[in-house]
Amino acid sequence: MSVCTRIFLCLTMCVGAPIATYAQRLPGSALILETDTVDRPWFSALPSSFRAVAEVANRQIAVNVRIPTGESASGIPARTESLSKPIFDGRELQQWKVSENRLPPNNEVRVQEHALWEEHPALMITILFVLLAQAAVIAAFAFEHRRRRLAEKQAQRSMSELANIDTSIATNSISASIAHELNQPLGAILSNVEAAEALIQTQNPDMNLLKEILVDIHEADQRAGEIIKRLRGLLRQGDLNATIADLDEAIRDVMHILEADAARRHIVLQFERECSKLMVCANTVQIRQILINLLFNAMEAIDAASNARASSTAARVVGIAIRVPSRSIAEILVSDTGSGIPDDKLDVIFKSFFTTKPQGTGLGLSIVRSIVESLHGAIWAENRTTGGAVFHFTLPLAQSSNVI
Amino acid sequence: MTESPVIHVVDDDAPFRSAIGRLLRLSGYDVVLHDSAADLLKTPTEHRPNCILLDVQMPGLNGLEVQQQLSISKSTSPIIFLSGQGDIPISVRALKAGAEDFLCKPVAKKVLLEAIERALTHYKSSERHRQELEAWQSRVATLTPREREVFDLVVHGQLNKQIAHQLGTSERTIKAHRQKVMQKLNAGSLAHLVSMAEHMRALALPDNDDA
Repeated sequence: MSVCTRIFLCLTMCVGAPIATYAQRLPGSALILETDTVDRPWFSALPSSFRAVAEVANRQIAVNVRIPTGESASGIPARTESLSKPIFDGRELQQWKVSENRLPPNNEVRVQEHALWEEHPALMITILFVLLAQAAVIAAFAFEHRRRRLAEKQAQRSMSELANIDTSIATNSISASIAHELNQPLGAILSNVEAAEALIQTQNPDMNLLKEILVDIHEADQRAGEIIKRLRGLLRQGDLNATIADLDEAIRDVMHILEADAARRHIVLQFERECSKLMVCANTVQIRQILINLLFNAMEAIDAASNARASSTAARVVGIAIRVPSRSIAEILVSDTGSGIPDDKLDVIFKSFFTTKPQGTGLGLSIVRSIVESLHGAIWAENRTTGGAVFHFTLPLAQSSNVI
Repeated sequence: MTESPVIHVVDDDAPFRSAIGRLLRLSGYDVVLHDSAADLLKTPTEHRPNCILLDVQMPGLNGLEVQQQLSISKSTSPIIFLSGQGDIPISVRALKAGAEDFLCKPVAKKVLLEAIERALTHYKSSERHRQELEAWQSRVATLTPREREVFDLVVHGQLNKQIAHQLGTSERTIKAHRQKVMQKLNAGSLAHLVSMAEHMRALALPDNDDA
């Protein structure tokens, strides 16, 4: 196309719409105009207002082209687009930071680069909400998991604390021992003192006798002190950090702790062993804890059985024996002459809170099992053919090479 | 019984035993010390007032078993238990089995001596009863079988003629027997006879049922 035509077209576009409208009113007149101006490359270089006008003119021209081709003018819908409508470019608005409400009314903003969230607010809010909900659920799970882990750790710690401080049986037994044993020297002291009182009221008090009395009082007092020291020694927890202990000594300690109780119940405690010193991988306190529970249970079983039976002539023996079935394991057996354990209960007795005693806590055997298992041993019970039950538990020997 | 009383002290704890022994001697009693129940049971019974101080918890035979043994051998010595543990069940059992008292160590002189005195008094009165019973029984033994029959029926309140009828003799014979019985048994009246018979029966029963 020639330059003149182009210029003409540009000018036409500037005032195109009114002309086009005017042309519309003049039926029969034809305006041959280019309609594809918008596609030309130089079009986008024009300022936006011109472009807007060009678009409007273009549309109008397109309409007007149709008139000469035969369409009736009245059939063509008139688009009254006023050129006075201010048209703005959104990018410019953003660049110059002009907000939309400062624009004149009835404006049109083109090429608005809206942010995604501005365009679909509802969707964005929903997505945001879903993400937040997800995050909340994940956080809740993580929190829950942490709390569960903490609770498990706490329970484990409580169990081992309980195992460590559950010395109530030992304490009761030792208290009874102390009471009984101390009453002997105390009784001797009192009677000696009263004898001395009676003596010095006589005419010629026998001074030798008085001296004997005083010596005896002195000895009785010392004996009392030793009894207290010895029994308190048994109550002491001992070194909780030691990992190796003398099994033989631990057993004899426990028998000592319980001997007053056994004597009171007229039960004999028998200990058989093959050798005199056996070191195991365990702490003295733990072995004592296990044995005290098992021995106490054995004595209770014997008492219960003899209450059920009428005869009092049955043997009342609690036996403790050590066996060494292999080079790495020591097996300890605690047997009683009670009435045994029902076969279907041989397993369940070790569960927490299982007890056949009205005042029982049901925790003794479960604590014992948790201690034994923490020492990598095993514990089980069976009934003896001669009557009564026997509890076996194993502990690893200290000199074995496969220390777990 | 004008002999002086003797106390048997049985305890395996030597210092305590010697202290009690001293105290009792200085309080005027004769004392025999035993270091075990076996030692006590070996001692022959005497006929002077005595009582036994027995420790409950001893190796071998404990106090309660000793009490059983003594009652089997028909010992009349009252038993006072001494215990280092004031165990209620044991004390109840001991007292039910006829113990005189149950004391806890350490025991004060006042408490001990009062218990011993009570025990000795019981011993004296039961000895008296026993001797009466023995005398009575020996007199009853002098009755002939026929007289014995009459005696039994008389104390049951039977009239002479009922007795005569039951035994198949005449009333006169019965009267004669009755006279003899009263004489031999040294009874002043029928009432006396009956009361003595009752007494004997009451005293005799524990002996028969002893086990």
